[in-house]
Amino acid sequence: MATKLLTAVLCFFFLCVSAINSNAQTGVKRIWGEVIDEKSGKTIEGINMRFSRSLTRSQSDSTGAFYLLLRYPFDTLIFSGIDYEEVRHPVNDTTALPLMMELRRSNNVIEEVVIESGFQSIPKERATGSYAFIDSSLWNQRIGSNVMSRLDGLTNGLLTNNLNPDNPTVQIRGLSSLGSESMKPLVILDNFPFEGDLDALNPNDIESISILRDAAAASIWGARAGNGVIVIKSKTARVGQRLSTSVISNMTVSPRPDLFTSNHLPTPEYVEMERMLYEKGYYTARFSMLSSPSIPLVAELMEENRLGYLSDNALEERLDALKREDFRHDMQNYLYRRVANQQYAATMSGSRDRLSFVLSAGFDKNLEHRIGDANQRFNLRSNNTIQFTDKLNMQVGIWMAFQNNTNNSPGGYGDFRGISGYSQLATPSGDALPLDIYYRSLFTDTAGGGQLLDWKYRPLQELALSDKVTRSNDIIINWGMDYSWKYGFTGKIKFQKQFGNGESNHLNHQDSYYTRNLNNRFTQITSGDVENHIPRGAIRESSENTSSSYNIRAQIDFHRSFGRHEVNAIIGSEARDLKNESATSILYGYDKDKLTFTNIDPTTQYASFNNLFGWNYIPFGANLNRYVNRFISLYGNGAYTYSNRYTVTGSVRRDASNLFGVSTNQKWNPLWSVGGLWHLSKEDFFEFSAIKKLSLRATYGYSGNIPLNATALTQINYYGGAWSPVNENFATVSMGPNPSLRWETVRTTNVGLDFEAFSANRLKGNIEYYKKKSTDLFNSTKLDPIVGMSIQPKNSAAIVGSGLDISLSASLIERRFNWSSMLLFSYADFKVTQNLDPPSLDGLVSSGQGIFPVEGYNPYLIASYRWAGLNPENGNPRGYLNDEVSEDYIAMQLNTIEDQILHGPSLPPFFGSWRNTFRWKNWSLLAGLNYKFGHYFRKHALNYGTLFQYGESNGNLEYVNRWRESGDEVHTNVPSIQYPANSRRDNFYRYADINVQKADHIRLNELRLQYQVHATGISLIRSLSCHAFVDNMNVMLWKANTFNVDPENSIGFRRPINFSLGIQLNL
Amino acid sequence: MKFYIIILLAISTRALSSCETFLDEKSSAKIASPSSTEDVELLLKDYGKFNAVYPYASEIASDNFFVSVQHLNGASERERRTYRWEPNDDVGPFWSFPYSAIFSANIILETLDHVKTADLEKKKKLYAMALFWRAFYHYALADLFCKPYMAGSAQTDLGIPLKRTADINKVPQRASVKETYDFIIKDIEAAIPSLDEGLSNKFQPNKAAGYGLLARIHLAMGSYAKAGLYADSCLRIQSTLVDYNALNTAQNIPFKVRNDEVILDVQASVSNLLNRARGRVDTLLVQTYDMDDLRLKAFFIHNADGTKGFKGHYSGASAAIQFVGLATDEMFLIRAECNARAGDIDKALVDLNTLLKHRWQKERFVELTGLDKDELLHVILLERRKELLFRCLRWSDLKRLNQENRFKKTLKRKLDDDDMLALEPNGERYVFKILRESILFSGIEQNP
Repeated sequence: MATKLLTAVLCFFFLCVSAINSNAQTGVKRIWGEVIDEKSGKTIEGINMRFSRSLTRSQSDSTGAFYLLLRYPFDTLIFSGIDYEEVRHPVNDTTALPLMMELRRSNNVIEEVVIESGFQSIPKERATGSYAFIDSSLWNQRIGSNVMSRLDGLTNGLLTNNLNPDNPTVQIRGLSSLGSESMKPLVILDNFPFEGDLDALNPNDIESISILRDAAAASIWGARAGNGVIVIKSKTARVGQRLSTSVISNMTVSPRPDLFTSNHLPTPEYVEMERMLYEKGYYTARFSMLSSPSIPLVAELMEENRLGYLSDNALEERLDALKREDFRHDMQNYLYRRVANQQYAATMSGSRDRLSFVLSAGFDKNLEHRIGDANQRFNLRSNNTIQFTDKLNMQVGIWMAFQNNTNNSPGGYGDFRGISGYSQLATPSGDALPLDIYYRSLFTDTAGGGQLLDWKYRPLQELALSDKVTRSNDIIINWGMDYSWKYGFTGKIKFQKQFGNGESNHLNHQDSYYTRNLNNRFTQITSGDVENHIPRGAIRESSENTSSSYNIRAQIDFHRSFGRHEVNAIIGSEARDLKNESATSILYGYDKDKLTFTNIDPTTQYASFNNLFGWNYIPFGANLNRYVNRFISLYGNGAYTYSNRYTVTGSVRRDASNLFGVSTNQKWNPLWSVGGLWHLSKEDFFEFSAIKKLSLRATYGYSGNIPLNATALTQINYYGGAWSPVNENFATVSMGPNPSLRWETVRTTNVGLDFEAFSANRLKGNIEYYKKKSTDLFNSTKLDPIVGMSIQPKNSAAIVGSGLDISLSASLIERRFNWSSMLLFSYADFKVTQNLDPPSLDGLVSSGQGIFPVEGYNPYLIASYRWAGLNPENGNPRGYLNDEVSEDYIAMQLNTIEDQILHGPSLPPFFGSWRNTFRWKNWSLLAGLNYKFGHYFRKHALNYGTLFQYGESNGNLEYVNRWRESGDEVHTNVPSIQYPANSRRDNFYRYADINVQKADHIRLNELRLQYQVHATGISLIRSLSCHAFVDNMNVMLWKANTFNVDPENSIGFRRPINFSLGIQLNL
Repeated sequence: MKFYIIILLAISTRALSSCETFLDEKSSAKIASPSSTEDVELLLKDYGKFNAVYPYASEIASDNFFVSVQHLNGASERERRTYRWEPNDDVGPFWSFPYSAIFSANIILETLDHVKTADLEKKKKLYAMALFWRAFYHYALADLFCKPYMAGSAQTDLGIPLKRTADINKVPQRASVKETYDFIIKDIEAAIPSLDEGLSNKFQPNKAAGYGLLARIHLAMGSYAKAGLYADSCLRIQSTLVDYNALNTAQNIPFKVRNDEVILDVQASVSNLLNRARGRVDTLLVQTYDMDDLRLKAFFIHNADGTKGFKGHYSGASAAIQFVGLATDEMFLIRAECNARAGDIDKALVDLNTLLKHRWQKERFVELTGLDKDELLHVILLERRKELLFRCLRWSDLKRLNQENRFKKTLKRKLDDDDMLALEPNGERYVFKILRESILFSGIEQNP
């Protein structure tokens, strides 16, 4: 690994040096400036310019900037570009600089958009499939360091599913698969699937993103394309491009979160509740339990009072003091912080002779709001193309990402189960206080009579001692060669090798709670003799994983025009091998300075302290894993165009993989697509002058998904002795035999219409309608427990979906003040049409948080019990049983689906964004609105059972409004308190229809103010832009619900806003 | 043009022919399809499947312990309803875990059908172990979900579905009680000849365990002659008893897992209700122990309120993990009971005294003598209660003894002043309801 790294670094260094050399030029007089589109005011890249006398040439770069050397006292500078009218501009020694050239678009010219499929570049003019394209200017409107979160709202059809805020996932055109892995879109980085951590990508390296949405676009990726494909193209340089450097620096600040925005019981209520629980005997058993589970302070005080150690007055005083506390104070002050995140990126690109190159580096340093959690990333990339001859060129690239995450936070809001409303983390002077959530304080005070280690858990002490670091290094090296032969043939070979290694080290300091607790548990004290089986010192838990993959692809392209006929085709094959290995280990008595450790005996059971926990082995987590995935594919894709008006396309691909247990015949799965395109506006009969362009597209085809953990045969898993109570290696049956395993298949039909009206940029857009049918979906199927397995995944489900994607962009005002607008609208509706897993046997209720595949319904369906109000007698929640008002929660659990209220999906069927950009002189202001309609959410409802059990970590302000006496039912729906808690009653209330409302909302999510100057007066800097960016604004412009909560952030505290300031310099 | 096509074809055929070897690689080094005796050996060491999840419902419903109302309210609904003898078809793991073990046993049996190995002895032994487990867990189910074996009605009483294959698509209907017991006994009888006689590792079936299980089952069926013979066969292989005089009975966990008395180590899954702090040992039962009986100290832990908790599990675990496997003490008691019932008082006394000698304080123990047949049977049955509590054995004893008028017993639970529950002899609740899912899936007949 080290040598590989060294080689990589040397390569990079070499390339840097060659880049610097190519910059070593000096000039007579420098003419510099910028070319701008007369109408849009946007800068134009790729405009050629030359002096008519000296013949010196140059080209404008990606920011529209150019510079040349004036060799004669006066000369004429000629600007020309494919889509622009030629301009001749006289210049001399005294010409004012910078030279701002406004160019006018020539008529009948369409902006050429080239889409990347990962196998070929396809001009949008010839594409039949459904592609969405994000160009660099759109991409760079955002700042975030994470690629996936930056995609949200930039393109239609793509929805970020935030139902689980810790693990957002991306859906393209609804749901096509039911597995959590198999529902993810395929991500392609340049030419090959990127299997690594998407967080490793440097967003500033990205040139464009193409999203392949229908079968014609995606089926070239075969059995992994069923969820759509996201093709990320990195920045490249063209031969002939002049040297340019761009430097970006961003600083993002986000305030400390306000935990008081969360809904909790006020502490006085909480104290009274614990008091009530004590009086009812909830804690009685705990007082006598040997294992000494934690007991809240209120109950301890009550017990002391009962036993006569604490007078009634003193008790009330203590309780009153507790009532004045709030656990959120300390948590907010000691566990959370204001953060400042930094992002730096530099890109240098250019060419010299036959070599063109891009070098880039990026550095991101992000802090999390939770103190102790942070991550850093460093990226390096180089991509070089060498044109050996006009026919033969070679591309070599290297990509590196180094990430470093620290996770030292002991937890935050919601993580300390059993915390009380009055719990404190620190003394007023800031010293760490114990939190008795594991053992009773009386026990940890006295256990072992001073011969044990301190047994208290103090979160702040943990924060100070924790040392948990995850590092990962990823390197991708790619190499490719193209040879253009006669007759329009090009042969291509591409090779990519990826290495990654990650290590996670969790050093449990010898004074950390984990170490002390384990030590104590394995301590035996017999008549004063202390026997301990855990060596004193730190405990180091580490895991290491390495991944390596290679891809090899051979492809032949054919491109030829014969008069009015044009043919484009590719055919090729590729092989892919992906290996992952991981190893974990635990070292005891570890000394990080001397690197020494002590052996333990993991094969002997030891008695635990006072036999509280029986006989146990010392944890010994050595574990080894190896995974290998292999694929072989053959593919072909062809397009025929007649007269630039009619195009038909077709593609076919066969995949095979080593997925365990599938016979070779079943591994081969041909997937194909066909498509057609008609440029209606090019027909002679088309005579609407206002409509500049109108074309129709239609496609049909198949793509697939791989259920990665599937197998046709009985599957057993091997385990090492560490996992067995008898310390013997063993195996267990993990899956029963499934002889009929197949791939999942997604069939898509897509029709689309593209148009441009008035003039090139005035109004353009497209409308697409699609129908999707995903069959043979791999889903866990319930079995009769008699067969020995209660669930087994099978090809057993189907989803049918349809939808609409509309995008409109318009240039509304095209003067010095410029207003352009982009409106995206998506509609995605889908439902499960087949599910061999018989519908749930209990009354159907759900929160739409996970996938709930009931036949005939959206898998994110929210369903509820019908609410019949609180019982005026006792405040019990009531529903309906056979249309009669009932409190029989057990019977209502079996209500049929007809008896339940079915609200709708938790994911929005209608969603999109509206982005407006206003430009005036050097200023531009961008406002991004997101909207989501047609979905529902269930609010966080009071649950007495979990409140009693887990304390304030599950508290809910609703408690205050609970039913207390007859008449309350008129103004509240919160059930009366009941002890012992009845989980069915709690659940009935939680899943009642009153807690569900429409989640429709419109949100102002981002604002960006930019000031851009092209002439800085400093000759080195060709342009400069400064921007202020506000993200995560959560300014709710409109919402449908009357709960007065943000439907996407209804539990816990409000997410803090992000403010960013940034600067971009182009040299 | 032709040239390229040829090259392309060459590349693709090359790729295709090498595919098979390329794709033969296992996708994970840790997963496999069971195919060898090594795999089967590893499957048989699956302690979590075979040794640790015995359904403990019968103990909850038995009369060895009681809980306070508060503790009962804090328990899971499944345990609460079981304790209160309420009809409950949400029996979850009580029904599914045994079938899961049976499934693994069937996978092993079917794998061995296809394994080619020169070591036929080993193959036979592995086969026998799987048969043993299949029988063991079918019996666990029969104990909970069937009426007791009554020769008169066993042909028509509903048994359990007998799972003879691993096929996940085949769900059998319920057999009769007779078919159920015949199937179980046949499996054990087929297994015994190939099982190891030694007890090298006590968590896998051995010959003594085979005989022991047959003795236990025949006793439950009321076929005392056979039960006595099989207990004898078992004790001929293994008859070690732990002398409680040598134990530190003051310890929180006095017994080690797989101690000398254990023939086969099987444990029930953890129960919350049976936790020492909640489940208090029946007061009357505690009073039957003599002050010189070491079990009083070895088995019971003293609660602050004067009640006793049970700590005498042979599972070597704290609190609520019951030992339900086979041990020599049970065999001595079976042999003694069967001999007593057959009128062989001397033999029965020998066994009883042997056992008690290991239980009493050495110097205080006086051998029992001069008992008539009925007295002796009563003493043995009482010793059986005192020795085998919290082993999930009481339930089958209650069921079989309820068939004899002289031993009939009505179980009573007093929760508070106006909540008095009773379970009549041979009451409906002696047969648990079958898991609701299975009834709905396969349409098998539910118990009343």
